[in-house]
Amino acid sequence: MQRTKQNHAWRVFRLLLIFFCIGLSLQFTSCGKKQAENTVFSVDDLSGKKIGVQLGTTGDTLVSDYETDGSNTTVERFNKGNDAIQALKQGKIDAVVIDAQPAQSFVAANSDLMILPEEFANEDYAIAIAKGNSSLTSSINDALNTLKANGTLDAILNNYIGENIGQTPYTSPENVNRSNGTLVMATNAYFQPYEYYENGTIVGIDVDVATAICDTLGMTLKVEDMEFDSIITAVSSGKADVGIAGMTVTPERQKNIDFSDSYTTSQQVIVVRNNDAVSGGTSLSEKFKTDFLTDNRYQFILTGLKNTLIIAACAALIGIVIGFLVAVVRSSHDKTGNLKILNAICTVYLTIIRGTPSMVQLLIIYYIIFGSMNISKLLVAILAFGINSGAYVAEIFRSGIMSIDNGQFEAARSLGLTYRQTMLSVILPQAFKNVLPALANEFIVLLKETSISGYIGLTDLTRGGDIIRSITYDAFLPLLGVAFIYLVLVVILSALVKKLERRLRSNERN
Amino acid sequence: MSETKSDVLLEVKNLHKAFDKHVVLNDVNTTVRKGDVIAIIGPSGCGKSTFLRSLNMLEMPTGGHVLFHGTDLTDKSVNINQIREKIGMVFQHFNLFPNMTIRENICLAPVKLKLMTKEEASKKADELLERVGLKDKADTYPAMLSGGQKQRVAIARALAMNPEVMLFDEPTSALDPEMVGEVLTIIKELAQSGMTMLIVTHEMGFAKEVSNRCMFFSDGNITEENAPKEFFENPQSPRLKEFLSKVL
Repeated sequence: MQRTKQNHAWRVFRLLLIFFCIGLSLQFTSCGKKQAENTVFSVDDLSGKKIGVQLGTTGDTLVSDYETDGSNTTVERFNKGNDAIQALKQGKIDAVVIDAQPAQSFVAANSDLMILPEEFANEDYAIAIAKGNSSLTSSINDALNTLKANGTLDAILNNYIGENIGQTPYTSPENVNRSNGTLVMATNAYFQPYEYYENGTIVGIDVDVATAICDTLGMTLKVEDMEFDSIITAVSSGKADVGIAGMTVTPERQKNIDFSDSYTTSQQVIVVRNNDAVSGGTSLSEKFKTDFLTDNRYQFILTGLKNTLIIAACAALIGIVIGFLVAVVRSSHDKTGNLKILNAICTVYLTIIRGTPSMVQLLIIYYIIFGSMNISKLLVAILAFGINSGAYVAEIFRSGIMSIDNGQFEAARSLGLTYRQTMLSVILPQAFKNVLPALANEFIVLLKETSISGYIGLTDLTRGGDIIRSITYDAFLPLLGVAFIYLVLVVILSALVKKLERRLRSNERN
Repeated sequence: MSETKSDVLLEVKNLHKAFDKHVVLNDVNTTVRKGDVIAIIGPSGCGKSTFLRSLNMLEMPTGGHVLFHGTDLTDKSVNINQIREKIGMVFQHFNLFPNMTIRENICLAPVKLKLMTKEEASKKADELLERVGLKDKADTYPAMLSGGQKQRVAIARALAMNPEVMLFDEPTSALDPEMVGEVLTIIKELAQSGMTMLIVTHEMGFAKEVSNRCMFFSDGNITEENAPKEFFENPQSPRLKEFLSKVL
């Protein structure tokens, strides 16, 4: 027994090792590959190429015109600027149209990229405020005017852009009376230098501007990180008071939200591959250091792992409770014909939950059902995944109940046991044993499915890796590391279930 | 008159059962008295099993009445679970609970229904297992028993509730031939102890030996009933004659 156990553990470990080695060798082969040739040298060259943009940005809106002009141009829309840049580096796209400042940060960090001297477009950045909230709009405009007049705004901009970076950091004046409430700012912290993560907190021009506005208005600032294309929804649904994310004023956006006065201007530029640059590969240990050790970046992974485990465990519990109740209602209805109304409700629940993607459900629960409520994202994710998993668990349980021979039911009833007693002491214990493998599979799926939590701005394991990726511009180690952790979790989970299964099976040797 | 009245256990009046449009039982009438051992015989599909299962409402009749000590079981307000405690049933396929030991199989109902404490039920299980010759199997699981042993356990499980009447639904039909004898012996002993029983069976010799009444079912009704000797040696209806000529 002991021997086989050791063998099993060793087999699994060996498997993981092989997986990791394959990953490493893939990396090295890709290192040896020559960078794809640059084909875009001016704005005119964009026609007919593959252009990357960040979904919902001004770049997206402007480039979209190329898509319909018959020139066969493809626009690839990424959730983050970083993803677009990475795709460009890997030769998947030919150019990235993006705001000038983040572009400069990208190019500074990636010597194999460059910005074309010809700029794509000019634009004004402003603060998004819910439509009709004119009192907030005017007080923010007043605050902006004050900050422009006393030079604070210029100081903030100069602290991040130009020759004197870091010279004029913004600090809140002492003894600010913050009795005017909280200002919730929606942003997307992958947009250096406007907003980005540094040592685990979101910093940048927009954050400083917002802080300065709050100091002027006597409010407390709260920054919420989310996907860029969610910001306008968040502001108009009241989840956030303002959207400050290097957002350009466009007529489309103005249909849905109001804008403050512009606080700065920027350009949309074109980033392309720089074939002249010598691509000096960094060693793996160097990468490991910058990915995980510098600035304690492994903390992103740890926080994410903690959240992933909390969400998966709590959602599994909710799923079991819902699934159990629904399965009992449904199978009782099938067996006896009672509980018609409850059964109808359960059927509708199953149809809706199993008929729509869990990601859409998550977004609906966050933005629509709890749209106007200030509720913890963790709780929203737990609820969404729990409700989702419940539907699948219900069908698993039901199939388990149905798989038990009717003779078992009749034998118990013929002895005088009630329906309830029969279910609890005869049918369900056997059903549970039968469905254990399917149930385990469902929880494995659930654990991995929590990786979409990032869509409501929750730092789960996947997003933890993404944050590191956005800071270090290295996709390899963060992604593989995250995958490795999921794999280890699933292997542990499977082993536990196997153990439980064996213990239950030892009862009956058939 | 008064003497027979108190002796009546079960009364079946105009019992009717149909599955959708298919009529299985059509106007069945009979009376079961205390101490009766009734063998129910007939071709397959004639409604024998359905009749037996209607007596404890495992099949809900679509018409007529079943009275147990004068209580109408087809009345929805009757607590059928309490009645079932008094009507033991043994199935063709044993239907032991595979996730429980033999002892747990026997103790489950008496303990759950609070008729006995755990200790009392366990003691009773030992007694019953001794009676069916399986004392040493108390703590094994059903999967480790032979078919004959399983059926003996099923009988012990039903007896643990101290039933007033036992229903046997083809108790030996699923058994290998060499195991039929051991189960029939137990049922015979039970009959000799005075237990009231209804037995659906294809074992004609056994039926003749053990019963005091034989019923022939065909086309959803009792077409002939008699004392066993008369029943087998002097059948009246052409259907029974034909049936007996085939099976004997």
